[in-house]
Amino acid sequence: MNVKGQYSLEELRLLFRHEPDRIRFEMLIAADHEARLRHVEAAIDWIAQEHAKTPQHRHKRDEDELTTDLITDLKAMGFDASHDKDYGGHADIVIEARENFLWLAEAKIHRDYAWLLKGFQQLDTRYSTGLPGQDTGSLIIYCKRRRVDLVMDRWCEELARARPDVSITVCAENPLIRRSSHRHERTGLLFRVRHVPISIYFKPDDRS
Amino acid sequence: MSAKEIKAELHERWRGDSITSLCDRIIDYASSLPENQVRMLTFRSFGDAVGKDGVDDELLRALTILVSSRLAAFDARALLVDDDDSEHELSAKELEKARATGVLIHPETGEAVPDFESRVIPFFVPSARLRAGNR
Amino acid sequence: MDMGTLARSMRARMPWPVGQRVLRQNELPRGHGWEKTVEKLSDERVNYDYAIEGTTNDLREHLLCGEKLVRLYMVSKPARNALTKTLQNVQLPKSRFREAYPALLSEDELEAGSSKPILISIEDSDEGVSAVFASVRSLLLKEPLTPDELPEGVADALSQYDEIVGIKYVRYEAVDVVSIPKTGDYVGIRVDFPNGMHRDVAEVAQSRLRTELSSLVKAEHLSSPVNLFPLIDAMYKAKTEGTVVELAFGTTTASLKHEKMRRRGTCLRDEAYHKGGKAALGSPIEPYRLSIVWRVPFSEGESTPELGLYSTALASGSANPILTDAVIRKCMGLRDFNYVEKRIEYFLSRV
Repeated sequence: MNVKGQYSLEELRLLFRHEPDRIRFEMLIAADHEARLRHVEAAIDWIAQEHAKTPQHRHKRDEDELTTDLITDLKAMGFDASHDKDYGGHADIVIEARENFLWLAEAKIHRDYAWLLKGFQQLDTRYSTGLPGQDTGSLIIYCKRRRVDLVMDRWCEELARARPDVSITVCAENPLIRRSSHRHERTGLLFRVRHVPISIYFKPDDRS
Repeated sequence: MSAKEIKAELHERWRGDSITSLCDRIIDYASSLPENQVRMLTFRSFGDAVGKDGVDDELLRALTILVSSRLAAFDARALLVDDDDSEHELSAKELEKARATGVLIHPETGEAVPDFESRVIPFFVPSARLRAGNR
Repeated sequence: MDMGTLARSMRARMPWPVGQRVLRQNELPRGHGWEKTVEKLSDERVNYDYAIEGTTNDLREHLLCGEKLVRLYMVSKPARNALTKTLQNVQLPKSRFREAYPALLSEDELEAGSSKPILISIEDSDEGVSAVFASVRSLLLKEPLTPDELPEGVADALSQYDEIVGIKYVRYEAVDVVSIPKTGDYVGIRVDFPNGMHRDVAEVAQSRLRTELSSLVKAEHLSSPVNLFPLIDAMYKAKTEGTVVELAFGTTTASLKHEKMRRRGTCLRDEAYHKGGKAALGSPIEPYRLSIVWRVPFSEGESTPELGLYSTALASGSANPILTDAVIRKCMGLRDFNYVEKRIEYFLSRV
């Protein structure tokens, strides 16, 4: 501590430089919904990365189990995350924060694209409110198959075909992630969805 | 909403999680003091109050829950300290803008503050939600 | 006069909250801080003619009252009238300062400038007459330097240091004012006192201005400046008088305390630690340094002008402590400046 015997922002950032701590700290001092959204997304990305490191323990788990793992990690980071909160139904992942921030996600194992589309539709038309601060969400895609890039390409083609009102872009920071936006039917405001693949493909080829 | 109600909501949402104990102690600490003595609660204040030697990730997690979740028991602020020890309170929004742009404009001079992160102290105050029940 | 020049002059003098208000009042765009604001207002592709007159007037007003160290002199009405009449008829000498006024000359333009005050304007209003003087003064600036700002060899040689600070003296145009009100007993000498200026520099400026005034009007109307020391205790004790944001005092327990509390709306008089400390003493505290802030309503909100009465523990220990300087800061314009002066005069009448 060097500023009046208190921790400065610089010192706290050095203390909390480990990624989950950094995200937690940023969420603590986030001042608006866009900042909160950034940190929720960063948390999801970090957890996705961690989970992708242990596919051997995850590839046989079902959707609910995978999502429970995700929510447990979100809660450990300090997020107000839950499963099955009743917002127009039961979204897979609900993150709430101050000032009525609400972020919803549907989490689906990639079986086929109709299943993913169902998840998107549930998110868009059933669970989300589309109100300010509640106008973002995610479709989390657990990929047990190889070639996540091809899965995402195909998924976006299917989405574009089924929902021509949705515009889709590739995320600049991670080309496997997609961002989509469209006018929410309830409010007419832009509703943004981030499509995040989590690879739990496990087929090691090292047995002799 | 009072401290008791916030704690009930905390225990409901984080049922079975040991972090609730630390959160309870923080809420009790802030609620036990008169309003004029909780105008600047820093990481150090909270750490000292709950008997920690420094700031650790348990304290960070507890504060994240109390500040950023729907509990919103505390509001985040920041203090800019000049070379001559003058202090200027910054809102969370001003700080957010500074971190997003990399530039903090000094509220008095209007000039960019060099190396501002080394001069800014984050702190917290009980929110209107927490104070409401204490009146 | 172009808006870019006005904006640069505003930047050189005005606290940011004051500057923002002036810009808002004149319907001018603001950027993130002074640098971006001056950039915007210097854009020649945009026509800001609609705001030139208003901004010029606001800048002129700020020069009369912004960030000043003030001494008050009791002057009889006949003497004030004589002084006023002389100043209203005085010939203004030619100078670059005067040509630019109310805009300020840049550091480059000040290269050959004089430290002797030069009369550049007589401002006549319903409230009185102000004689405006300009001169060149220096301000000490301390800037932290990073290794990549230094030449290679130098950075290596200094690598053992945690912090490297550059000190430079920057020339700037100081604007000082002699104010003779139509009503009231005091003539005020106000010298520029921006943050970072050493008190000694202001002391010299006061003395030079007084000398210049005497020379100009060919008479000596000012005797000794009024002693403001008694106001420190009087204003501190007046519970409803503004908000005390800084107080230094001695105690009979042989301790010196210096307390500061600049959070919005909170007064040191009511602060728990301050009250508790006082309550534990058998004798009153002996304040010698006070900063007090008022809220003065404006059409669009309020301003928070601040008065500083800064003596020392040493001076306060003498039989008849003297303090002649009042530091008045953060005024939006003459309205809140005059408010502060009126409060000073009110307390002077009661001590």
